Formats: sequence, structure tokens, C-alpha cells
Amino acid sequence: MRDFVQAIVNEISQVLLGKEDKIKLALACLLSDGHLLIEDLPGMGKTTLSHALARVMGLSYQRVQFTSDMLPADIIGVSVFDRDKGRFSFHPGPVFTQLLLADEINRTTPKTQSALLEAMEERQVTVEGETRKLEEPFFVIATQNPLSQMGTFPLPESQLDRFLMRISLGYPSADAEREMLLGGDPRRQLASLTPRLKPAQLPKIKQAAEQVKTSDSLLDYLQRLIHHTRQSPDFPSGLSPRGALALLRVAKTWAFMHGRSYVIAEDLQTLIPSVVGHRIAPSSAGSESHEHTLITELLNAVDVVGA
Amino acid sequence: MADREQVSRAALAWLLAAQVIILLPHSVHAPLWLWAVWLWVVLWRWQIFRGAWGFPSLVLRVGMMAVLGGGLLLSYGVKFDMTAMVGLLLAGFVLKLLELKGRRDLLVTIYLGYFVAATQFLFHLGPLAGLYGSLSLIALTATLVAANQSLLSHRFWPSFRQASILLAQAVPLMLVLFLAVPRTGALWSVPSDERAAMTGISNSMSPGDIGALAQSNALAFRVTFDEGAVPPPEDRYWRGLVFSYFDGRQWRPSRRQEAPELANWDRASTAQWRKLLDPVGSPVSYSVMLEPTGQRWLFALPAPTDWDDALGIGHEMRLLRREPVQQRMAYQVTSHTDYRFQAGGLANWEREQELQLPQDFNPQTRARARQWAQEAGSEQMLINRLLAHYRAHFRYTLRPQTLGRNTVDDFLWQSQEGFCEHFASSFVFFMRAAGIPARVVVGYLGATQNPVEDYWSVRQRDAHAWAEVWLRGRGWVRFDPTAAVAPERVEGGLDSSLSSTDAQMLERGFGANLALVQRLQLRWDAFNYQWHRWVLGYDQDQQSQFLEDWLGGDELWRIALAVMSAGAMLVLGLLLSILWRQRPQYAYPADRQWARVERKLKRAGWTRQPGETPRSLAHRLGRSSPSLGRTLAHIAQLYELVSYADNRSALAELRAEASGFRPPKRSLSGANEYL
Amino acid sequence: MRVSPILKSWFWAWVSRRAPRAASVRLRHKSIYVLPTAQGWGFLLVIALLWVLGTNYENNLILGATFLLLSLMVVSVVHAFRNLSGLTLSVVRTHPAFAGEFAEFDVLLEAAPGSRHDALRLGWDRLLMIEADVPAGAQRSVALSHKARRRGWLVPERLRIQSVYPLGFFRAWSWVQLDGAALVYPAPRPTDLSPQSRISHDEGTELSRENQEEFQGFRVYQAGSPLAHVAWKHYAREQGMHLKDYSGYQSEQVWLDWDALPGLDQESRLSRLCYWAVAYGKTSAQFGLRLPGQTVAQGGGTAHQRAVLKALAVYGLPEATAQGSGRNG
Repeated sequence: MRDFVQAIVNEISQVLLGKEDKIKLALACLLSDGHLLIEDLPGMGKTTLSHALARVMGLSYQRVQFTSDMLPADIIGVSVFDRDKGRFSFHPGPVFTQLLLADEINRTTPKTQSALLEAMEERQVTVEGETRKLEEPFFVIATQNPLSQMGTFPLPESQLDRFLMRISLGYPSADAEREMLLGGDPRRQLASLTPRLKPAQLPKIKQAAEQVKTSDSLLDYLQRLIHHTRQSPDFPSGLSPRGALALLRVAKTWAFMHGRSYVIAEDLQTLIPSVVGHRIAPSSAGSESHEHTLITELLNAVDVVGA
Repeated sequence: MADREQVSRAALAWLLAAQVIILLPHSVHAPLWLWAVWLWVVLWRWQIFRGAWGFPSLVLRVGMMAVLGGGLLLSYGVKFDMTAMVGLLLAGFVLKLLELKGRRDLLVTIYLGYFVAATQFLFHLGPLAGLYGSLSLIALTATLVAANQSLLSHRFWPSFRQASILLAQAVPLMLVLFLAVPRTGALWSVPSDERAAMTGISNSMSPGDIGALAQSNALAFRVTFDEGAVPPPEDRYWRGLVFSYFDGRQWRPSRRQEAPELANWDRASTAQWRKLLDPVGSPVSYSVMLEPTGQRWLFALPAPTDWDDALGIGHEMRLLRREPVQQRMAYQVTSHTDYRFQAGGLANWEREQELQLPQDFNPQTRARARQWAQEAGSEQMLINRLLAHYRAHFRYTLRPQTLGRNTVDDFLWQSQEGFCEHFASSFVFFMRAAGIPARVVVGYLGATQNPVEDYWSVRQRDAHAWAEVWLRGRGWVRFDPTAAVAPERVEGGLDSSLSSTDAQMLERGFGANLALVQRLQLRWDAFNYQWHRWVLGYDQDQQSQFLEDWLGGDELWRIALAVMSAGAMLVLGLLLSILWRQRPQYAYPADRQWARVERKLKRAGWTRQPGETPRSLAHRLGRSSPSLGRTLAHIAQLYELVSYADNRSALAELRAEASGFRPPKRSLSGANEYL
Repeated sequence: MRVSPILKSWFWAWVSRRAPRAASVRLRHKSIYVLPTAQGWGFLLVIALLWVLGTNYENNLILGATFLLLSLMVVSVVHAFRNLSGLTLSVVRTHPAFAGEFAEFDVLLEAAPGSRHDALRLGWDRLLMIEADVPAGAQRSVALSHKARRRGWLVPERLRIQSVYPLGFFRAWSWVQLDGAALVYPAPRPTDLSPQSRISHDEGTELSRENQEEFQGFRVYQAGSPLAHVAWKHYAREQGMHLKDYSGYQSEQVWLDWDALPGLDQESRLSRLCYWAVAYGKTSAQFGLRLPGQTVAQGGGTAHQRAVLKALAVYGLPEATAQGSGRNG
């Protein structure tokens, strides 16, 4: 499995240089059947990453650029009266795909946002009384610009919870950037990526990941972490049970991706910033560094080894 | 801190419980109306608690104390002795309840309670009293715990539990202190209490005295023979008193016999009369645990040749004590049961004393004695004839006919039935009338062995009277006329010598016929004996013996050292048990092993941050010491296997790695500063 | 008894070395001290009297009781120690206070494994000791008060924790230096006029989207009316308590300005600004704070008020004392 994961990571690394860690995290998110939120400045490769993931995983791909004048129907689809057939027919929106890139989700109104988030959660949409199933699998990679600008609608905390993970790509390293500058725009190479996975394989991977062992000792550590977020006054709100379950789910996938049949403490430590960060961070804008400190403090304060 | 702090309900409840427990054993001497006072005070206290009544004013308190004092004066009389003092303490202890406003009053009451609780031992000394006393101390200590509990917790039983634990933990050191702290002896003389009447032999003998004693099953004394050298039954005559004066009805010691200055209080003395004793054969050594008699004489087998320091010896070779025996006492004696005493002859005054007879009494006996003396060829023949007379015509019974004015005449020639005192009295009278010096000896005959413990008990029912006759060339010789009538009295004790109706008269312990009850009784008796011997009887002598055996001497520094080290051991042991209880608990074996590794690392100067996993620690330390990094990485891998993969087989390896782990000392060079 | 200052400072330095400041402190044998109390000496007197009684009457049972009580005293030393040993203290939360009042510290007490801790008394001031029990395996939170003398961060000195449990013969105590600071706001001092500079109306367009209703006038205060509507300025001018009557819930927008209080020294200005920050915090007004070199943007609500008060509390204090953990809740 490790080789297989490495192959996917290597494949994507061709178009997104020097970001193996982030690619792995994104992959873990998707393999855990969760939606991903990428928070970053424009031009850091968010679109490239999602597009590459779709290709390598062999998923159908749609990209929606969110704007303030967008309506829920623009995403979900609309019923139009078909004059030829004499009845309404449904024109599916971009949500009917396997991987949807919701670019700059915070640019659209809360109404449209919640339409998408609802679809993410339910994996189905209801248009004019008729419920339609979305594709299986169905992933959303949403991006958001952390700098709150005029006319943006940052996702509320309750909605952030729907994303299994939140990552930010950040600037590439000097070497990677150099290579990129030499090699030209990597986006052009997207088409040349080879799919390494078939959508049909995903349920099997998911099933296998669920078999990964989480020992009592590890659960104790997890509980110590949770307890700390709930008891420490530094944290505005403690980690919810859903958040804890999410962390455990991704940790299992992560261990599976690394060829282990059991989760270790480092798995949790690696994943906590991405899985827990957006669930406990205070809502006020520009707090990313504060959130980072909080997570660091959490990991430093809680003893890995039980007493 | 604040003295006016509130008294918790639990503390008050415990104080009341403790008062009941403490007052109860004092009921034997304290007036019963003290209970009424107590109830009244409790009622008042309850009303205060309810807020219905107020605290009594100072005038009222003084008045109450005066009334109570007057009451005590009426109950005890004007003589201020120990019992009255305890009564006063009790009254104060009860009344203090009405003054109890704050914590300080409560503490004073509890401290007073400790004192009052201890005074119950002035009246009760048995093992049950000891047990009960412990209960009193527990109740008081529970009150103290309740007083020191926070007001938040007012539960009743936890303080009892805590008090019991504390006292139980205090017991080992208490034993050491009890055994080792020197007994100084009384600091000043205290008025002894003569209220208690004691059963036993008195210093005179009238008809029926010993018969009354024979019906008492009470213990007189216990004997332990050294090295199991138990004298045969016919030698178990415990001499106590010698009566040489007869007034016609009552035998008494002569005035000379009663004068203590004639006794010899120096064991090593070489007084002339003591040289007249000529011990024959081998000695028998034994220790006696005497029940309180209220008298100055002690009991011993004749003839004592060695005894404890504090004792004296009288002219008739009987052991004496300067002070009456008010409490159980133990003494050690060596006797030669085969001896000659005053074989060389009697002093004139002594001869006169041992031949004294009252005028106008028993004319028939006097005449018969003179006649028989003339007919007999020797003193021995005379004695044999008299004994034969007894044997031929007399009956041994506890219920003899009443005798007239001439008791000896009536007994010897008419009723011809009676008890040891009748035989002894008539025998001595007859001898004296025949011109042979003789005297009555009173004491105990026999002893029953306790099968559980190695000691013999002598009871009041073993009380006996016999005769001693002075024979030329042989000195004082014991004759027991009772033995002529009922030889089994000597061999088998009182029971075997009586008819069944007589035997029924004797006081027997309840259910003596039931084997189980009897066995239990014997065991209890044995325990009682041990208690008295080792607990109550532990005195300076036993202590110095003990200290000699265990500490190699009784110097003060040895005792101090022993007590200190016992105290230190107790404190240390308790501390260790506390730290052991508070030791870190490891839920998982891997964590315990890792903790070992971490301890070793810490000693070598490396520390792990809480959030650091073993693996990342290995990585970090590997930067400054690659070899350490490699070892740690291996341990970390094992740790992960055991901790997270539940790999049991890796645990053994982890354990081995952890115990064999030897981290290099961290060098303090600047290169490692970033650690 | 007067101890020489050098000896005293040496002693405290020694105590501090044994129990250094930390966020969470576990009481260990190194930092627990045990000494007899007056009650303990009193009990010793009882024991002495009992010994005299037992010795004089040559009564071994009384002597036994005497020795039992003496050993009980020895045992109680260990138990007094045990009652503190292993207890863990940590400051969970601090509550800000105004200077001159008492700042509260929520201290969490955690029992040592397998032991309970009874009748603990703890506090900084002997007169403000709080009593607490910690059952086995449990935690208890106690609120301790500390006099807040000056504005700024209040970092308390040694916390004393003691107990005489179980028998009161010995007092075990420890000094604990807990890492936790409470914010102390300046003491509010009323002024006649609020030190404010009103903003011109057009600056408020962006925010007044919902506030289209008009301010209609004043009416007399009635008990039960929302305090947010009280006209505090009128009240402060001693013109009686009035309510601002709005047809809607319009917010005021004000700036509390340092420069509006000329001729006063720094602390007086801060006190007055503090008073008005408190007053406006009770209304629905949007208010901001302008200090030399520092501005807190306009806003409303408790969080905003706290930010304003914090700015007042730490204004002009050197960084070292202005530091504190962000634990104020």
C-alpha cells in the first residue's frame, strides 16, 4: 500500500512541486471519504492539486468559481420546461460529479454556500420536491481565501465542521520554486497524468482502512487530547465528539496509507492541525497564527505516554 | 485560627456517643444520679442546637457546679480520695457540654474526656476493661477527627474509620513504649482506696469462716512452677497465717506475731532465728500471682528460703508485705518443702505462746488430754491416738451441727462432724492441753492445673486450716487432722471429699458440667492469667529482664535508642506506604517500561517534552548522539508495537531493552544547547 | 520574634527553590512542612498528666493508654503530611477585577491516586482562607480571592495551603507558586462628563444599516427596564435616571478619548475612562478607545468591553509586567 500511495503522491508531485506532505493529507482526506477545505492565497496551486487528485484517482471533475451573484440553482441544477417533450426536465448542476472544486467558496452568499454544504452532507439534492442522489463517490474540495476582503462571507464555524480536513498549501520551498520556474507552468502537464486508481477501488480501500487497529493506549492519548481542549481555558470551545471521530477516521486511513495495521500517536499528531484546527479555532478573522499556537500548545501539553 | 469556629454536627454527635461510652464503666462507683444529670444536660444541649434555649449564664453554671459538688459530697463523704476526684472529673466532663460554644471548648472537652476515659482503668483491670477502654479511646479520637473535618463533610462514620486506622497504626509504637519506657515507681504516695471489700482468709478464725470461703469459686492466686518441678499433692500446703492465740472461740495471731518490727525485711539478713531453719533436699521455685487481698501476708509453700526483695519474713517462716495487697501482685519464691525448723528447742516466750489456752473452756478435753498424755509413751503415740480417734468416729462435712460454748468439747466428744477448721482447732487445743506446743496454720491446700496454660490456680474454696506441732528433736511438724478423716481432701481437692449434697452447696461456675463451656472457661481463665501476668504485672523487674534480653541492658541510652528507632521505623513505614499508594499508576505495561527508560535518560541529563513521542525523541537525541538515537529508535519501535499494535511478544523485548538501557551522559558542550 | 531581613529573604529564597513557580504544582515531600499546633502541645500536656496518673497508681492500663496516645501523636504527623502529599494544584481561570477589589482565581485541586484530602485551607491572605475537601480520585475547583491593589497584571505571590487534619495536633502546610495572572482594571472613578468625542454621522453609514429607527427622546426610568437603555450620561450628571427611548434599537457611536480629559494625571485619566467603559458596556452603544499610541476600534458587547478595559489596564506598563497568559475568562 505504501508503494501505491507513493506512486500517487509522485504522480501529483509532477504538477505540484515540493508539497508531498500536503498531497498526502489531501489524499488521506479523500480516502477517508471526507471533504477538503484548502485555505490559501490565490495562485498557490489549489486548483492544480484538486485537478490532479481527480485525474490520478480517476474521478470525474467539475470546477465552480463562486461569485457573489451565484444562486443555489447554479450549483445544484435547475428544472427547465422542455417544450419538445412538454414537461419539465432537470438540468443537473456542477454538483453532479465525483470531485467538485468549489473555488473561493467564501465569495458567494451564505444561501448558496449552505446549498452546497447541504449537498455535501446529505450526498443528495432536492430540487422542486424531487430528491436526486449524487454520484458515488462524491468529494468536494473547497478553497477559501483567508484574507477576509470586502464582500466576502467567511464560512461559519458550524459549516466548517462539514469539512473533514482543512489544509493550506503555503509557498513552495526555494528548490521547488526554482524547479517550477525552470519547468514552466505545471498545469499544462495535468493532462499527461496517469490515473492510478479506479473509483471502484475506493470502497475497498475504505473498508481496509476501517480494519486498522486503534489500541486502548492510543484511545487514551486521544481522550487526553480531547480532554485538554475541553478543560483548558485557552480553547474557546472544546473538540466535539464528531471532531474526535473524524480525527480517528483519518488517522486510520493515514496508518493504512503508510502500510501499518495500527494507528500510532504520531499519526494523530500529524493530522491534528488539519483535522482539528478548523473545528476549535476562534471565529475572528486573522487568527490563523493563534490557531496554530493553540494546536502546538495542545500537542506540547498533552503527554503522549500515559502515566 | 479562629477559636469561635463552629462545631460540626458530626463532632457533637460523636462527643455524646463518647460520653455514654466513657460514663458507663464509671457507673460502678459514680452515683447513679449522674446519669440523670447527663440526660438533662443532653436535653439542654439539644434545645440549644434547635435554638430553643440559650447557653446557661455564668451564675447558673457556677450554681450547677456547686449543686453537683454538694451531691458528690453526699455520695462520697467528706474524704477526698481518688474515687471522689474521678467523680468530680466526671461531673466536669458532663457539664462542659453546656459550655460548648466553639472549637476550643470542644477540644477542651475531648482532652478532658481522654483523661476521664483513662481513669476507668483505676476501677477495671481485666482484659475486657482493656478492650472497652480502647473503644472509649476510638470514640474520643473519632470526635477529634470530626472536629477537624471541614464543615462541608458532616458524615458520621468516616471519622470513626479514620480514628480506628490511626489508633491501629499507633499500636506497634505503643507496645515498644510500654515495654521500654522505664517504670519509675510512684512519684508520691497516693491514698489507697479501701472501699472495696475482698474475699479471702482474714486474720482470725472463728467456726464457719473457712466453710463460707469453701463455697466461693473466686480465684485466690495462680502459681507457675519453674521448670515444671511441681511438688506432690501432699506438699501443696500454701501457708499464709499462723494463729497461736485462742480465746475460746476464735483463733488469732498473738500480739508478737502481729508486730511487723519482729519480721525480717532484709533477705540477706543473718538474724539468729533464721539460722534455725535447716533446709533438706532440693528446692522448688515458683512465682505466685496473688489476687488483691487487702492484707499484708502472702502465701508460700513451707519453708521459703528465697524470695523477692520487697518482701519480708515473719518468725513463723511466713512471707509478709509492708503494704496491704490492694492490687494483683506477683512474687517469686523458692521453698524447701523438706526442712527442719527450730529443732533445737523453743525460746521460753515462744513455748509459752504456743501452749497458751483460755481458762474455763473445754474442761472435758483438757482432762482427756492430760489422761492420754500420761497413758501415751511418747508425743508421737499421743498424736497417733488422737488421729486414730478422728479416723474412727468423725465425718467431714461443710454443714456441721452448731457447737456450744465449749466448741472443742462439743466437737471432739459429741457432734464429731465438721470441717478443716474444726479439726485443726480441736487438734491444736488437745495438743496444748497435753503440754505439746502447737499452733493453727491457715492457708490453702491444693491447686488445679490449667490444661491450656502452664500454671496452677488456687481458689478460695481451697482454703484450709491445719496444725503444726513442735516435737523435740524434730522442730515444727505439720499435722493435718482433716487428712485423717478425709484423706482424699488432700489428694483430690475439696470436691472429692464431700458427699453429693455437700458438693451441691459449693458455688460452681455456670454450666460447669458442660465440657465446652468448661473448656471455654479454662481458656478464658488462661487468657486472664496471661493478661494479668504480662500486661498488668509488667513491672520494673520484668522490664529490666525484658530489656536485658532484648536490648542487652537497661541503660537509658539503649531505651532511648530503641524507642527512637521504633518511632522512626513507624513514621518511615507509613511514609513509604503513602508514597507507594501515590506512585504513578501505569494503565499499560509499555508505559511502565518507557517510564524506566525515561528515568534513565533523565539521570543522564536528557529529558523528553510531554508532547514528544518516543520516536521523535529518538530522532531529536540522535542528532547529538547517533548511537543513543539508534538505541532509542529501536525502543521506540518496540514501544509502538506494544502500545499501539497490542503486540504482546514485543513486550518481553521492550522490557529487556528497557532494563539494559544505558544512555550516555549528556555532555554540556555548547553544541547541545539547542536541546 | 523578629527575624533579620537577610535571614528572612534567605528563607524565602530557599522555599522558592524547593517549590518553583509552575502552571501546575504537585505537592511533594520537598515542599510540605509539618509543625505542631497549640492543640498538639495541649495534647502533650494531657499525655503527661496521664503518665503521672498511671505511674503513681502503678496502673499499667493507664500507662498503656498514655503510650497509645503518644504514638497516636506520632502517627498523626504522617497523616497530616499525607493529607497534603500528592495534591495537585493548578490555576484554571482567572477573573479580572477592578483595582481595590478582589481578583478571583479558580484553582483546581486534584487528589493524588488512591488518597483523599480533607479540610484543606488555602489562600493568599490568612483572613481569606477557603476550605475544601478533595475526595479520592476527584477534582475540586475553588475560587480564591486576592486583593487587587494596582491595575495591570496581578501575579500572586506564594499561595499557602494548609491543613490540621486528621487530629489537629500538627499543621502541615506548603507554599505554592502558581503560574497564573489576573488582569486588574483601573479603579473606575465617575466624572461629570464622559470623555468622549462624538464621531460625525457620515462615518457610521456602513454600520448603521439596521439602525434606521430614530431616537425619540427620554422617559423616566422604571424598575425592570433594560439597563442598556438607561441614559447614563444624564444619570452621571445627577439629572435622574432616564431611559433613552428609541423607536428601534439604535446604537450610539462614541469614542472614549484620553485627550478629552486634560489636566489630569495618567492614573486619574485611566480611572475615568474605565468608569465610562463600564457605563457604555451596559448600553448598546458602540464605543471605542483612544489612548496615546493605541486605539481600540469601536464595537459593542462584553468581549469588546473587555478588550477596552484590558487596554486601560495594561496601558503604559512595561512589557515584563504587562505579560500574562491569556487566561482571563
